[in-house]
Amino acid sequence: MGKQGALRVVFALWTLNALLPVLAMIERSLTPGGHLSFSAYGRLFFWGREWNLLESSLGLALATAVVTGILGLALSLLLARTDIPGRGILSVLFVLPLLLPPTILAYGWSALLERDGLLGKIWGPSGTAFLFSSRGGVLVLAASFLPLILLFTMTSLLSANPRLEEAARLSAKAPRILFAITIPQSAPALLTGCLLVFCLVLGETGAPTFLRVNVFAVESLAQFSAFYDFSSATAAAMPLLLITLLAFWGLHRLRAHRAAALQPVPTGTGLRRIRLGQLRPWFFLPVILLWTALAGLPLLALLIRSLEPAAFAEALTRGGASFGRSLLYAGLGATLVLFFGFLAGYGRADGTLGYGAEAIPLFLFALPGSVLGIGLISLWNRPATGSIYGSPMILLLGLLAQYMVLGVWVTRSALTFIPRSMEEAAAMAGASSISRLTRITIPLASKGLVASWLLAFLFCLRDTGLAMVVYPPGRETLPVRLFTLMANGKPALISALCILILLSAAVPFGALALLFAKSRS
Amino acid sequence: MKRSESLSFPLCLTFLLFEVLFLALGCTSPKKPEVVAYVSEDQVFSEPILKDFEKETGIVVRAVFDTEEAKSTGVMNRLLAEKENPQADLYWANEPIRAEFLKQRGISEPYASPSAEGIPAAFKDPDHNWTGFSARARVLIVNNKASRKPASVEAYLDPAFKGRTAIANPLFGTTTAYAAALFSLWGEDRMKAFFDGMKRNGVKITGSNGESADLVAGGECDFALVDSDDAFNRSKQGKAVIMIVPDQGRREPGVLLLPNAALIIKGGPHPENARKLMDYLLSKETERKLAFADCAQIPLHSGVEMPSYVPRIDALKLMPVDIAGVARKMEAVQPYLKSWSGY
Repeated sequence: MGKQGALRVVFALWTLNALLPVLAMIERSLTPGGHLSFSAYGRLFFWGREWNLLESSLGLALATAVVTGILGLALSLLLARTDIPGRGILSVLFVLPLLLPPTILAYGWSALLERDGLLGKIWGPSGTAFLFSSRGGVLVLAASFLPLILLFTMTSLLSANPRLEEAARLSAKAPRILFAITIPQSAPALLTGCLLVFCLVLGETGAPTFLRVNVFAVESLAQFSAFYDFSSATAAAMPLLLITLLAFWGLHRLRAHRAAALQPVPTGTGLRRIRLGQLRPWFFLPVILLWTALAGLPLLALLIRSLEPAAFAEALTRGGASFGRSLLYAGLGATLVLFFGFLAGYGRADGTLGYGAEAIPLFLFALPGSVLGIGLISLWNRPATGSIYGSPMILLLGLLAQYMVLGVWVTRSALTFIPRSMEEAAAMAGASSISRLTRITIPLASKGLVASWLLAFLFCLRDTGLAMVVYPPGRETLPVRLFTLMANGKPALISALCILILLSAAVPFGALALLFAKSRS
Repeated sequence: MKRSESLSFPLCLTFLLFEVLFLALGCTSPKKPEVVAYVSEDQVFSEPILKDFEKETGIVVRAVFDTEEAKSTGVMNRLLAEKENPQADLYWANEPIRAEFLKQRGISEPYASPSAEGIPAAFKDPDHNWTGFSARARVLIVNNKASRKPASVEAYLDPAFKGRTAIANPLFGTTTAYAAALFSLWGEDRMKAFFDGMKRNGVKITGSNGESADLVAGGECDFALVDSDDAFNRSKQGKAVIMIVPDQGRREPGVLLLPNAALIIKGGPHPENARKLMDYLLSKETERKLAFADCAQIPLHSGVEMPSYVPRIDALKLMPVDIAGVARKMEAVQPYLKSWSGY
């Protein structure tokens, strides 16, 4: 067994960890009374309203993916490829909402638009009528998930091979180069981001419920919460998973051709930024207004609410330990995701691993955290494995299963831009697999790997669906504590906890800003 | 030689990574006595009680709290999933229907706590599988600026309040219990007619009682049926709202009282400490603390010191329902409620 065998074994280990709990749940959904039955699935579309809910979910997910895709592409180009002022800070500001569960943003908007809120006094009931509708749902979810598109597309734009643009510059003007080369180069990353947004919105229950938008994902939640029926809850998650896999298949078909046409060539020159000249303020203004409209206002509402003398002291007293734990778990979870994701992405890039290395992690990503969590309990809560189930390891195993797709996709995207010939030349010169991996592949893919770790860190940090089902007693994370305190907690305390969550990302965001600053220089 | 290097590197690193994580995060054997409590009562109210228990007994409470996001049933699902190898010692439910449900699933263990003496029989399981304490009432939170003040839940049908009322999704939480109680009291036809009438009168269906209370506090709605702690809480925050205990008239059904409930988990790892915690929760002192807390819960023991704004149980006309009966009705009423709420 050589490199390929080792990669396959590592991926098989991950698959075992990730799929066994899900298979246990699927088996449970097919044998509700102890024998084979499709009744849990048959009941799903018995009534017409399930179809309506599915239609509503698809509409919401599609609209959010399209809106975030359009905004994300424009913003990524401006922030990554132009000299727009304050682009480092703007990048960080736009990524902030990803740290908070969408429900919190909806909560912030609601605080703004209520009768006595900052905007409620101006807009009156029309503001709340807008917020508590599917249009409001698109607004809140787009603000929450736009950062995902930005992280994917900006990473791709910053890692792009500049030689194609340089060659085109000999005969074409900037707009043509933008549409014929720059945008197509980042299209795979953009489409990947859009697909992830689509999946996340399909599975989202908190914000739509808060905004009174009926969606299909609540079917699964209702089966858990109202009926305690694990079989039906798993069955109810399946239609959304099938849609996700279909969307992945479509994307894969699209991306395969794109990737083939864009084999990069090494170059010693850096990317050239588009100079906006005197138009810089005119680009800056709409960008900052967009951020204010999407995220700044609800975050401001949270900040204003948190400005009570004792709020932060109480938040630290009640959530201080959770704050530290969240950082630790998210850091470890992201490291696991990066490690396995890199190896799977590497195996996928060199053809060792098949489509499954992308499709299975996506399937797990789209699975409701509650379903995965109950599956993990079924699998690991045994006397023999009690030391794992009773420790934070169970949460880390869940995070690894759920968010590995981020590691695989970002890594693979980064590896696409490294010419195979470099490794081949090193191999011919006698370099071992490890040397090639550590001296060529990892350094060249380092930006993508850092982006992958950060993205995984953000998702692990904000996770609630999985964490609230499997966190060990007495060891809850900060977002879980936020939700447990939301029930009748003081608004100032809740807002202060939200601000703490935002601050908890200061270190990795600082690293991200440094990365961008370095790439600029 | 180099090939064997390439074989072992990722694999060794994988095992090393897990080994380090396992050693770093694995459970060390506890030095102090402990008890594992799963808690559905709001954390802001329950955590101080558990901290006091820790201080007084030296027993560390490792708690799992419920969340609004999971409709306060995350803990229930966890208890059900862990049934074969229980991790919890005690469950503190925020209403007795769930406790009754766990009893029916064989997850609880009988325990007749000495602290339960003096709690009315209506709030205790006759087999001692669960015991109620400190109750919430299902009340109306009303905006001060509302043109009229409702006195009964039947005001939901009043055209004067058309489009100006809210109710939490009855598929979840205490609103389900209320619907099941009406089902039990009025019968299926009248209960359904009431809910259908509410819908025709433009009731807003919210995600939780807290959201309903916020809609009233923010002036979007005139009134909503919520738990008394939601109403007290908004009032304490200085919102322009009042709380009305509904249906206190002679021909009206009375107010539904939903006590907390404590139960011991069968096969839990620390049964002795679980009983100590249960005794503590059911004590008059805990009821006093919960009466003075922002949830202003109603003590079930007589003679408990309490603030003047908390109604005394003997001063209320209570909805005459049997908890076990309501728990059984819940299963029957849920398909209708699922359809009613649009899911």
